[in-house]
Formats: sequence, structure tokens, C-alpha cells
Amino acid sequence: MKRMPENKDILKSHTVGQLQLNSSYSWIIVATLPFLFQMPLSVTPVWAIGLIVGGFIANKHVLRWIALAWILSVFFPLMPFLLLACCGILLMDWRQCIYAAVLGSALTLIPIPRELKNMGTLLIIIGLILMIYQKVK
Amino acid sequence: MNPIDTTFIILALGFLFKHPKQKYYISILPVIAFAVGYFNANIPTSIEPFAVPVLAILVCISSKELAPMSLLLLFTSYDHFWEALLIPTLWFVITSLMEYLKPRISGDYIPSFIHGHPIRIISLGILYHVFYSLSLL
Repeated sequence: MKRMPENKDILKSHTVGQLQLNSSYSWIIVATLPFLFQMPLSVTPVWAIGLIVGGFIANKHVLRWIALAWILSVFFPLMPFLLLACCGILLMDWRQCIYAAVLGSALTLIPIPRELKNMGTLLIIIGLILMIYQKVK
Repeated sequence: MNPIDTTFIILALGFLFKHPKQKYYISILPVIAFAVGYFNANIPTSIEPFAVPVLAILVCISSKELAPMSLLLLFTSYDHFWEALLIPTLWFVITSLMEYLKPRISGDYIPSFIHGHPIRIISLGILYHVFYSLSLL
């Protein structure tokens, strides 16, 4: 006879599922952060490389991300180290780091009209992308 | 980046990290970040480069779950003290508004692929335009 799942199990599985759902799209938001914070174009490659390197060496470790970002900011003072650390901590694994680095770099290179460069419009666009993402998934 | 933008990024990311201590961090950190920026000139030059990284490490150690939000709050530049107070005020107002909107945006009449994060983020985008227009008055 099949054992009925206990409330605790249901709660646990729900929480894990919820976390996986939450983390599956965080890279889309992370990719928009350098664009939103108007990171200089010259610094974006450093941010992207830092994110990819951090994905392998600092993955899921908050203090390692801060240390890596701090070290990078010593060599590239224009790069905001708090932003890199924040982006890295938000990402769950190295794959998401690569996705965010590629999309983030692409977003800063694309000439986006000034009217669209505000948080409200970007949130609506992110919402629409997530909607398509959920439908396709 | 202005405080309104920061608040909305935190609200959008808030769907990823829900934590009971969140409101205390949002209330205190902008004031700390403003104080550090304000007294930056009085800090000895030998320890000045370490002030923000050490603060970031301390904040992240105190709550690893809220590390991305804390780093964003420390990263934002605060020109006036009222900007440091605007973030928690706006956060509390919009959080209450989103709670009020919750039954409306989670009804059965809404298609399943829009449910959850997409509709919440789109609602945040619309609220941004409302509050940004109000701030210009």
C-alpha cells in the first residue's frame, strides 16, 4: 500500500519546488542590473568575465563573491564591486552566470531608446518575458 | 540610480528572497549607507578603501539570505537624508498595496501562464509609473 505523504513532506517538497521556480529566472533580472545601474560600457566585459569566473570559483558562497568582486575592483576601479557581488549571489549555478553575463553584455551593447530606459518599462518587459518563458516551459 | 528605482528592484527581487528580517534591513541599511557616504571625508585615507567592503561583509554575514538586497541598498548613492528614508517608506507602501492587490491578481480568471511572478512583476512596473509620476509633482 502506498504511504500517504505527510504534511511535513508536502511542505518540504513545496518549499524546494518554490525555490527552484524562484531561482530559474533570477538570471534574467541579474542581466538587466548593469543596464539599469548604467554601468559604463568599458566595464561591462569585466563584469561579465567576473560573473563567469565567479560562477566556477565562488558559486553559492556569499563571502567568496564579495572577495572576488573586491579583488577585481582593485584592478578595475570603475567596476562597482557591490553590484558584481550582488549579481553573483543572486545566481544559483555557473550556467546561470554564463546566461546572465551574455544577456547582460548584449543588453548594454544594444542601443535602447531613452524612453524605455526606466525601471517601470523594464519590469513590464521582464514580466512579459517571464510570461512567455512560463508558457514555453 | 535613484531611490525609487532601487526600491522597485528590491521589490522585484523580493519575490526571490522572502525573509522575516527583510523589513528591518530595508529600514536601517539606507541610513547606514547614507551615514558612511556622509562621513566618508572624515575617514582616514588609509582605511577609506576598506570601509564599504568591510560593511558589506558584516551585513552579508548577519544575514546571508538577504545579502543581494543588502548589497543593492549599500550600492545606491544617497544625496540627501530624505532619500535614505524614502526607500523604507516606499517599500512599506508598495508592499501593502501588493498585498491588497493579491486576491485580484491571483483569481481563476487569469490564465495560468501569467499567474505568480509574471503578473506581480508587471503590476510592479505599472506601480512604478504611478509613483514616479507622483514624485515629479
